[in-house]
Amino acid sequence: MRCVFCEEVAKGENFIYSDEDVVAVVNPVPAVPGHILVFPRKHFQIIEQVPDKIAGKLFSVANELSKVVFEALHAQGTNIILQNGVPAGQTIPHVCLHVIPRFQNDGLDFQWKPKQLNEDEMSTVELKIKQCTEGIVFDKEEEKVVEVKEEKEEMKVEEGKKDYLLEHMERLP
Amino acid sequence: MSDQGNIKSGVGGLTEEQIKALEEKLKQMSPEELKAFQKQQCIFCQIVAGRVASKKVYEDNVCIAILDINPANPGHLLLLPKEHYPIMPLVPKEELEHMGKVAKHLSHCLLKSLKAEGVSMFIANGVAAGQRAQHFMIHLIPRKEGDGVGLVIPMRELKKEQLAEIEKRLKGKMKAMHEKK
Repeated sequence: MRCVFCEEVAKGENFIYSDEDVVAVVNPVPAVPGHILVFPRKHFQIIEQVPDKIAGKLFSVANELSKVVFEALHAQGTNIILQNGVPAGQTIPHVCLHVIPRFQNDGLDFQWKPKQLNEDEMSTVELKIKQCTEGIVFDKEEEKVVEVKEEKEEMKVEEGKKDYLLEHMERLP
Repeated sequence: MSDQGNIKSGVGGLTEEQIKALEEKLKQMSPEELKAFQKQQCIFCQIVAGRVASKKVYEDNVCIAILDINPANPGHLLLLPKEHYPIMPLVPKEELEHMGKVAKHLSHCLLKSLKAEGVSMFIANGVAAGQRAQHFMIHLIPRKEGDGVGLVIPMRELKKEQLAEIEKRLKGKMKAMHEKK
């Protein structure tokens, strides 16, 4: 199936940000001018399919771009929104974080009407979710990457020995 | 409560003199003292510390997730860093990336445990963006077809020249910020 975000990645021209995992473009049909789209290079339909490392990166890149929006456009606020699944408003089948600059009286309204739940209903929901979160397992590779990264940071001090140390430490159990 | 901080209502009962004295005190505080004061005033820091009750569904050493007591839909979660950061730009990169990973897994749990058909993630930075609490958070809202929650992002046509101008400004600022680092 044709995916406009994959086409953008293939074109590789209009990125406002790009690294090996994540790219960002300025939305040509924005909620407000300066609306940015942050998405993984690889095609994933929903966030659950995205490896942990890239999922985390989507948020930190969105944050960096949000800072840029504040400074470059003098935005008074920003919203970061992920529409995960069609009922959540997702229109393109490729995971994407929206970074939206906000201004007073910009005509946008993302407020929702709160629903009233009684104590029993709240407790039932709490229990159901808790039973699931107890089984959360993070991607294993990710932990290793964090460890190596920390070691790398320490090694910056000893410039000359960098490669040797890196090789050495990777061999450690 | 939902997103609302309690700072204003807390000040509401003071006389003008007391408010002035408080303002004076705030001015003289060191950044560390100010942070401690903000923490004390923040309902979500109280929740993190366990001094205010909440329905907690997830916790690790960086963040917690609780049920929003005024949910957009049943199962609406607030994912909060344990540390007090008023807005996202102040959250350190590693903590934010960790929270992104946790958000992904929590989203999966909402789909699985509540049979949600989708999940909206929402962050507001600043009052103009709808932020009410003084503590950074990621909202996770389980969604179902036709649930009336909204959160629809409008699309507006933009002239090519306008788009090019915006791109130029953003790229220029990014370059400048990158060089500063």
